[in-house]
Formats: sequence, structure tokens, C-alpha cells
Amino acid sequence: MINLDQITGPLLVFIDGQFSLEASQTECIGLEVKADNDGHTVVVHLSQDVPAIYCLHQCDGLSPEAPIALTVKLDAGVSTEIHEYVFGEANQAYQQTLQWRCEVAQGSHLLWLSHQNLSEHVRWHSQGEHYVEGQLSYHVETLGQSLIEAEMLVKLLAENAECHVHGLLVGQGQSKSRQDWRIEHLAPNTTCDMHYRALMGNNAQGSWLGHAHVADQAKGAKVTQMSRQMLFGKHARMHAKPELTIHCDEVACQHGATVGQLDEQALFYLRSRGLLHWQARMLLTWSFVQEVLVMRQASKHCLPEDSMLQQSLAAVMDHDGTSVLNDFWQGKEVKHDEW
Amino acid sequence: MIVIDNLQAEVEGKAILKGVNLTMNPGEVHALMGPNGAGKSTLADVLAGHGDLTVTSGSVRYYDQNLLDLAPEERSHAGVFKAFQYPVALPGVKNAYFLKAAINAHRKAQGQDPLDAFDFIQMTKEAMVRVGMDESFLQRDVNVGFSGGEKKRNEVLQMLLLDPKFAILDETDSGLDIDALRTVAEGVQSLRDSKRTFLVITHYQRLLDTIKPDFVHVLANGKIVKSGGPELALTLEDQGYAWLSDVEGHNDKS
Repeated sequence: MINLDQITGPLLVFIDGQFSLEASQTECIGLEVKADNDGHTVVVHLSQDVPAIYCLHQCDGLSPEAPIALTVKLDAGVSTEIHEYVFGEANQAYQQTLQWRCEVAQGSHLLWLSHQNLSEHVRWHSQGEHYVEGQLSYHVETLGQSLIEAEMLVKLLAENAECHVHGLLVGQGQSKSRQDWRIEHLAPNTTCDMHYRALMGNNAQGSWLGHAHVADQAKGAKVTQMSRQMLFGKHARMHAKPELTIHCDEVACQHGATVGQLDEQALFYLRSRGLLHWQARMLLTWSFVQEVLVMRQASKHCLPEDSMLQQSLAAVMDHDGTSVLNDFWQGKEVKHDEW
Repeated sequence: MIVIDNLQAEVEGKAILKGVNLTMNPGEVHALMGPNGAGKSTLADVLAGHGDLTVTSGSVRYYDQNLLDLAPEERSHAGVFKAFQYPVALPGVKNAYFLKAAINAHRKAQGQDPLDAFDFIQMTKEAMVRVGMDESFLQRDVNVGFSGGEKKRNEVLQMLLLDPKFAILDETDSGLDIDALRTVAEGVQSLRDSKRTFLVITHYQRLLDTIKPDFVHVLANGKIVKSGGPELALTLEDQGYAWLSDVEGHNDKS
């Protein structure tokens, strides 16, 4: 769970779909926050660098009546990180929609890291629409047992604009997840990469659709789409589909998708070196998700809530191997007591 | 002492080992040679505990234990080490972490305290010098992007660090240039002592120039068809396996 005391930067708090000015911390140079009267619409406008902004969505009361509309605008040359935590333990049906929009001007960089961990009663629906002339990096981590639906459209509008989207889904119980990403290359020499990893346990179901559209004026576009999923549960299901639509020549595009299980040869190799079976499984699982954790690991402003991911992985693996995962986390010193 | 008695094994219903008998004592180096498809790597995998293989008959006595009853990690803890012919790449797993995890898994199994970071680095650096590996390999993912020779050096590095009682080298010399072969062979040679047993699987005499075996065996069609001293390897190098066609079992197609 998130410890609010650890947050030192600007903080935006939404409780059951309403912006709470009282719980937020918005006094910060260069951070302009506008909220409408009912608290459903919030605009953040940055004209200078802010190291990190934290955004909390707490979902454990009554479903909100209206969607949240959250807009983040970065002026030219501005950089910031947004750390979004979506959590809640609603014990009755709860439904919420987030409409979020980013405007990233030339020379600016927005790193958005979203951590979602919700109970099985929550249905979280996000609709993103982003206009990028600089660089947008988005990392989304979906844990828990809820129903998550996410649609995201990114338009790369200026030459050399970049978008990097990394997602990790750890599906447990009866959880359902749908991720639809669409990135449109509308200017020359634009770059996007989409990397998605899913670990599906129990009866979890998920789908990922990554669509890259390269317009006729987007000469020199570079596109990478890679989706890999592992199924651990007998009834777990995952549907992955990378799509490319290319309307011009001289582009570099690659895509792929795999669904499988842990590599038996790799397991044997590790066991032949003395690692116990569950340790070997945990180690391979952790290495599997590494590629989509690079953004999070590169950030110095992530809250130390690592255990949530570790616990989720352990649950999917059906073994309390969190101590093994501790050893890997951001190169921390190995804890020996489990070895 | 390791006693392999009438070992028979199959893969997906196909018999590969058809009655292997072999006794290896501490301090001995046994070279295992033979034509492609004879079952050499299968024997190595059976000894290491690979799950794809089914032992249909026979036994392997490993000191006071039935080796075939042990899980792969238990065999490793007991001192069995197999250097893989095709070491597996582990993307996302740093070599340093992998080595430390393996060492400490062994130490825990032996009731010892885990190695601290300082001792691990010191021990590993020394071993890396012995196999001619640069320290930068510690920060690379295990076998990812390694050349064939680098993978084999990494296998020998693991062997040096895990200090096994019974080392099985499955074509560790394949893919090595002359200098790398010498370095690797010297690394293996440095581990020879009166308590350790080696089973060296190879196609070529050149590895055995440095790792001088006490015994040489020829495995053909799932059985050991000829055993002898180091001179047997020289004969095989010179004449190939054709001259063994009259040896009992070599042409056994049953």
C-alpha cells in the first residue's frame, strides 16, 4: 500500500472520482492546477520543470457519477514525471472512468508511470488521448483482480517526436484486462515502441491490441511492437495482437507476439546449478518482466511500493517467493536469508 | 565412487541408452568419445537429472546415494556439475547475481552461511582470471550475446566456483579457438585432485592433450563398446570409429 508520508512533491488526490483539494499538495513553483466545482475536471499546466508529481486515485466508496477528466500540459522544453497510483479495496461494485489527456510540446518530456492495484469489485476504465511533439514515456503496471479497460491514442505530431509505452499485467483470480494502444505517426522521423508483458494466473483473462499507424507524411518512422505473455493458470487466457498500418516507404517497423510458459531448458539449467525449483521459476519470471520495468527503475521518484508487484508475482506463481524477488529489485543487495 | 549399472534411458519413447556400465573413482578422469547420436549427451543429461529423459532400467550409485532419486538441484548440492554443450541464455538475469545465487544455494544446502558481497567478488574475480574472462561479464545477462567460446568459459567459471565432486563436461571444447581451448583446459586441469571425478565428453583428442584422461571409453549405439587408456583417444583421432564396427554392440541396431 502507498504511504503518503513518503511523498515530498506535488500531490493530486482523487477520492472516489472527485478531486480533493484538501488532501492534495499543489503549492509548487510552476505547477498550475485548475479544478472545476464538482471536482471532476482537473488541468495541470507546467511551464517549468518539476521533478515529480504524484497522483492518487482511491476507489473504495461509492461509484462516482461522472468521469474524471485529467489534462496535463507541458510547455516547450519542460520535463516532469507523473507517478499515478490507482488503488482501492471497494467491497461492492464500483465503476470509474478516467479521461486523460497529455499535451507534450517540442523539447519536453513527460514520463508517466501508472500503478494499478484494485479489488475484484472495481471496474476501471481509462481513455487516453495524447498529442506529442516532444517525448512521452508511459509505463503502466496492472495488478490485482479487477476489470481494467484502457484505450489510449497517441498522436506524434512533430518531427522526431517519440512515444515509449511499456505495460505489465499480472492477472490474478477472475481479473480481466483489455489494453488497446494506438499510436499515430503523423510527422517524419517519429519513433514509438510498445512493449507489453502479461503473466496470467488462475482464471485471469486479458487482451492487448497494439496498433501503429504510419501516415504518408511520416517518412523515417521507427516502430517496435512486442508483446509477450506467460500463462500460469490452467484456465488463464490472453489474446495479443500487434498491428501495423503503413502508408509510406522508408520506415523501420518490427512487431511480434508470443504466448507461452516458462522455458523448461532454462529451469533445468538453473536447477542444475543448485537453485530450488521454485527459486528458478521465480527468477525466470522476474527476468521476464524486467524489460518493461526499465522506465520505473530509471526513475528516482518511485515510491517504495515494490512489494505489491512482488506479492502479485508470487501469487501468480503460487509460491511465496517474494524474498527472491527482493534480490533483484533495482540491483539492491541480495538478501541471503532465503538462500 | 560413481557406479553406472546397466543404465537404459529413452526420449519420447525412443531408446537412446541401452545398457551403459561405467565405474568412476575419485581422482579419475574419464573421457567419453563416440560418433554423433551415440548417446553421450543423453548420458550427461541423465546424470544431471534432465526431466525430458525417462530412465527405463538400471541405476546410478553416487557415493552412498541413488543418484536417480535426486532432483537436479539435489544432485547439484551433492556435488554433481554438468557443463552444458549449449549453455542456456537467461535474458534479464545478471551473471553476477546468478553466480552468487548458485554459490549460496550450495552453501545453504551444506549448512554454511551465505557468502557476503566482498568475498563473492574476490572469489569470482580470481576464478575469472583462471578462465580468461573479463570482469565485465559479471554485469552481463547470463550467456546473452556471448560467443560460443565465452559461453564455455562461463561454464568452466561456474564449475570453478561450485567446486563439484563429479564434473561432467559435455563437449566443452566445441566452439573454442586454440587459445580459449588451452585456457579452459587449464582451468579444468587445475581442479584435478584425488577427490574429484571428471567425465569429459569430447569428439577430439586436442582437449585431452591438456586434460590427460586416465580412461577413455567409446559410446556407440547407447552402450560403451570399448574402453582403454589415453592411447585409445589417439587411435580414434587417427582412425575414426569405423574400425570399431566389429566390436560387440556397435552395430547392434536392435
